Amino acid sequence: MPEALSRGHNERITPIMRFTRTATAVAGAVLLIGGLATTALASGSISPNIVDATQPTSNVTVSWSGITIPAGLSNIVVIQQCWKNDSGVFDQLNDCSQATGLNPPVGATGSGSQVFNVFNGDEQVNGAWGCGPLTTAATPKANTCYVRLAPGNATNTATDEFYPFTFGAPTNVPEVPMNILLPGSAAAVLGGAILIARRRHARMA
Amino acid sequence: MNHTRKLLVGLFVATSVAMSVTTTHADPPAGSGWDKNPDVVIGGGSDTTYLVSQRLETLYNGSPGCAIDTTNSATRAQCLDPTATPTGPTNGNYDHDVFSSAAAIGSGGGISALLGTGLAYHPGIDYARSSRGPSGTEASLGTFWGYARDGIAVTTFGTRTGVSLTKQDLVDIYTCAKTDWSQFGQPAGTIIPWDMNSASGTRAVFYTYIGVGGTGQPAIGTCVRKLNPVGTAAAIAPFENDVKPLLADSGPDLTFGTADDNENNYLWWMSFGDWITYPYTANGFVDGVATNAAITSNLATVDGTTPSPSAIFGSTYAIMRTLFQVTRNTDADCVTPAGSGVAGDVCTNTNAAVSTASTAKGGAVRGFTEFLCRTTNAQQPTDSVTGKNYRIEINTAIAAEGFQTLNANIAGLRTAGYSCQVLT
Repeated sequence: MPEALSRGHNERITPIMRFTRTATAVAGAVLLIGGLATTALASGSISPNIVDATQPTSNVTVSWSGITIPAGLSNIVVIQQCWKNDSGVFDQLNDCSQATGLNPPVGATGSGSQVFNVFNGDEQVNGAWGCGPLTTAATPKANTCYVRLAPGNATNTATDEFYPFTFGAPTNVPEVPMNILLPGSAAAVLGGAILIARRRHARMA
Repeated sequence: MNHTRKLLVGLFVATSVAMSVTTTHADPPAGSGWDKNPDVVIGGGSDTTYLVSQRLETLYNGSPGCAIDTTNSATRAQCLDPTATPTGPTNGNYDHDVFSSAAAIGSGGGISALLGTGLAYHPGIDYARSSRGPSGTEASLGTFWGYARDGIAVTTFGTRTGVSLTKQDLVDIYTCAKTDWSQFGQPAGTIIPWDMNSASGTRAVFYTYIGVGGTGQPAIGTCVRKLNPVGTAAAIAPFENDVKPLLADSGPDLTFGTADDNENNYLWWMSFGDWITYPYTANGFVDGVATNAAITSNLATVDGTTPSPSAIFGSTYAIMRTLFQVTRNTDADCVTPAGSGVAGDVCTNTNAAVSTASTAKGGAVRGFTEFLCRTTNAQQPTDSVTGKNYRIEINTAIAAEGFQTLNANIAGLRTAGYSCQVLT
């Protein structure tokens, strides 16, 4: 088999080009699927997502859209501060602060926003965990904590979402809208690949 | 003669030794309510605290105590203490007493039955659940141990959302001085304010807040609704903390779908802990029929504040209350330490100590109360099943029902030395 494969009357594709195209296509498909999966859920954000490490409390603005309240639950979104998310074993009663939560109405369109006060230090009621560098005796201490949004009820773990925040210099870094960024990245990668292929094709011609 | 004397002396010595040995073995842990015998104790009263009491009782029932006699003997299932040394932790449920909650009839009914000022409870109770503080002479007969905080959520229904009312607005509504929603900047509609079971602590807290219905206060207006049949002696106000009976009521004209049972015009109130925890009690369906459209109750803002866990813990919400366990003074009371120089029935403890009964059910109530009101992890045992400290488990049980612990950073909320507010 020759090194270069003939695909048309004047188009030659090297093994490197084939590998690049295949990898690009696979990566694009993965990103697109991921992006579509993200958009199937409600979306939210917090801003800023880096809060002042020197302050015991900071305000963040929590925004949400596309929230649907499960049947039978109340027309609220429960907002909590948690030291972990539900990627592993998660118990909202013990892993989220029960003393600092809010429950604003969701809003007629499933959208809304709420200023939420996050703490830096020991969880107040039990002191069994802490968030941020001002944590004292509590263990474990989390440097990345989460704002949890639970539509309808705090026990709703089926459609709840977690938004991470960290502690650092007081900056205002906007939350990355992954449901837009992921498909956009995929389109950019694919477009770039096509553009490169066309230029090479033009040079060969 | 000498022989007889020797016999008597010997008998006396032997009896003394035997008695001293028996006494040593029979001593329960000093300064406690334990008598090495498991008692069955029942509490009753409040509906709001019914479920959280069950959680707390379950924790206490399972907390560690003495080694149990498992043999086929007269002391079977009692403490097996071969020496004066306790055979288990003395900061749990040493006697393995069993606590249980009777069905709710309202705080007032439980308190009066416990203190002997009202009719008996069935079954008989040895402590009371209360969602309000003491009134009248109750504090002189009993002790109120406040262990959790709650708010009274004022609710509108259905399409009427985002309502903001002041205390005066609520006075005007519940005295029927104002009867239409348009008088509060809302779409027009005749307001239908609902009443509540008269023995309810939740009712007492609400009417106390607005200053209506008490001695020397404006009367509750005739527009305030009770369940059908309205206007007869048989009319009763709905039981607290569940909107479904309201939604299923057809109104005075006994016909569903008319203006007098338009849920969008209802106004009521309930425990915020219940509201936030149990949407099944907070929401329902038009006319109470599951095939009809869903109706949610919606939180109203009161005097510029809206209830939330944060507002309850921080005591910033307008209508706050403390939830209590009530005991007879002869069973459990706070102690004035010897030498403190404080006279009278004043709680000045540093170790959550509780007096007074040392045996039987009264002693068991004393032990449970002390368990409930300790302040630190070091004072509490560890749950042998979960490995968690019981103080954390108590706090988690309170949170699981939507309530808050008493915030140690708010001055005056806790009684010094306890995690509870003690009123006696």
